[in-house]
Amino acid sequence: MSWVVDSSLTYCQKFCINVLKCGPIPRHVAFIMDGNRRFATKKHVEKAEGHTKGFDKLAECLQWCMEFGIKEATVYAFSIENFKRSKEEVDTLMRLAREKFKVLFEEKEKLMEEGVCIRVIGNMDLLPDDIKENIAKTMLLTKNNKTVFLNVAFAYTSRDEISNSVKTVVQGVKDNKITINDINKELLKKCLYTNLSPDPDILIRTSGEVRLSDFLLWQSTNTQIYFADVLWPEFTVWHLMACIFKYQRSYYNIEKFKEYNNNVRCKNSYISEFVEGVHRERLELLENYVK
Amino acid sequence: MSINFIHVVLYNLVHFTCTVIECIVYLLGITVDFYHGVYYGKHNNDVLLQKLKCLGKPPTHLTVLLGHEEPSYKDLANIVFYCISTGIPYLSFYDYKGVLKKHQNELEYHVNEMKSKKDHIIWHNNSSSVHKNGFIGRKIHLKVFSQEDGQSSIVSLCKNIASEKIETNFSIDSINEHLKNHYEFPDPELGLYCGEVFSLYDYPQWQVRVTEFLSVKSHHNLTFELFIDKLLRFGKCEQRLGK
Repeated sequence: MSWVVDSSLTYCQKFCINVLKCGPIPRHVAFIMDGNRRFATKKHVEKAEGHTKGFDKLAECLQWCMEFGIKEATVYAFSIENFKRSKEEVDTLMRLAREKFKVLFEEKEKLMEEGVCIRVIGNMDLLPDDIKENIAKTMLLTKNNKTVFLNVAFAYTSRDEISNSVKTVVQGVKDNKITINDINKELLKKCLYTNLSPDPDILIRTSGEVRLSDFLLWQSTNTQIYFADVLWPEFTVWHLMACIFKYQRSYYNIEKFKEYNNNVRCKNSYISEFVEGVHRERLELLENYVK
Repeated sequence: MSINFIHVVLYNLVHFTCTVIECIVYLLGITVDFYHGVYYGKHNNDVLLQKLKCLGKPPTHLTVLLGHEEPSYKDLANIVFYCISTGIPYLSFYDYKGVLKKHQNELEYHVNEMKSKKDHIIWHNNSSSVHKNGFIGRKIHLKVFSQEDGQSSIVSLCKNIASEKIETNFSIDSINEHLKNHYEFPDPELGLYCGEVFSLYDYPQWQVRVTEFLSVKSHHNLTFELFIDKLLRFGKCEQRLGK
């Protein structure tokens, strides 16, 4: 099944979405897609089948987000910790990823037509070369698209990301590109894998687990977090609507915190230059993967 | 009448109805709490004892996130003793506004009022607090966090590394060790958050990787029974650590 699917919504669902769209709509939603294996166990099918169903749900869910006018989605597809699972399961997941990233690149016409920008966030060094190549090709191709953004966290953990950001900044000081006094929250944020994304407004974790599992810890400072008691393959548009409704209910509370936190940003041109340099290096790395 | 107009009317109607229902539930809640207070102790002690028997291993570190709530020192002091009596060795409070940190002496006052001689409280924010060794009796470590312990603590670590005050190989373990020096406590296993919505409000992010978060609505008038219910719910949470 492909990444870009047609809307499967009924008239009634679309109507409800339009009603909700009269209020504030999150700009960026993050998902921890948990529960594929429990779904497989529940339905007495193979684990791989559960993961495939999970992927199909992702494509469907992205369609719903577009319907809502949500500009950006970030999904937790594979954690670095997941490498600790049985070899058999890791192989299955890698096979699925290999296939899906290949399909993604093959859908380039659709992606360009809809203006979808794809970014994979995570420690790419941990991935097999052929997967890296397909990811890099897609990212480079869609990097200038601006209509909707999809970030796929793959071989990702937040602690790895933060450590990496600290390392990048310290290297910048060592290379005399920035000074110690320039180090602040903003700069560290600009060196995360998600350097180009605004923070998510909502984070949804399915399957009833109530943990963040090392996902977007730095970025979810202002985020409203919801734990949905439903397995990911069984997630429906109604669950998404419920989350958005709750977001609207407490919209002003979170805005209050954002205002409270509105620190003054002083930016020097050499700092932006450093940040752009970091970004450029990452693009070069991607180009290397393609070669 | 355009379809857009219908959408707007419905949107406002739904949110208005919801606000009305919330108000009614809130008022009912107050009434129920009142009667509960009157009858409490007559009926519920047996149930509570039963629940306590089912309690598994308590979390090593319990953290309470106040959210937007103003601290109620008496209720927070209550939580300290809930933890002592259920054998939780580390307890911390997070108030992003820093009010609690500033008025920690008020909390200390309330805790001292309630504590018995055999309770030993180790305050981690207070350098003057004596760490007695070999103390026999009930003991708890207490710390108050505020926003300066969140992203800011990682910023200052980064500065210290850059100025070569601290050495690291940038591995997760090494960064973890340095951040732990500041945080002092083990990573929280259970976080109780106040308020209808859950947000971290810059809670020390490094430490909450696998923390289980449960809602307590409010820390004001938090009952021992509800506290036990949350511990029971926590006991059922199984951790898979990515596997």
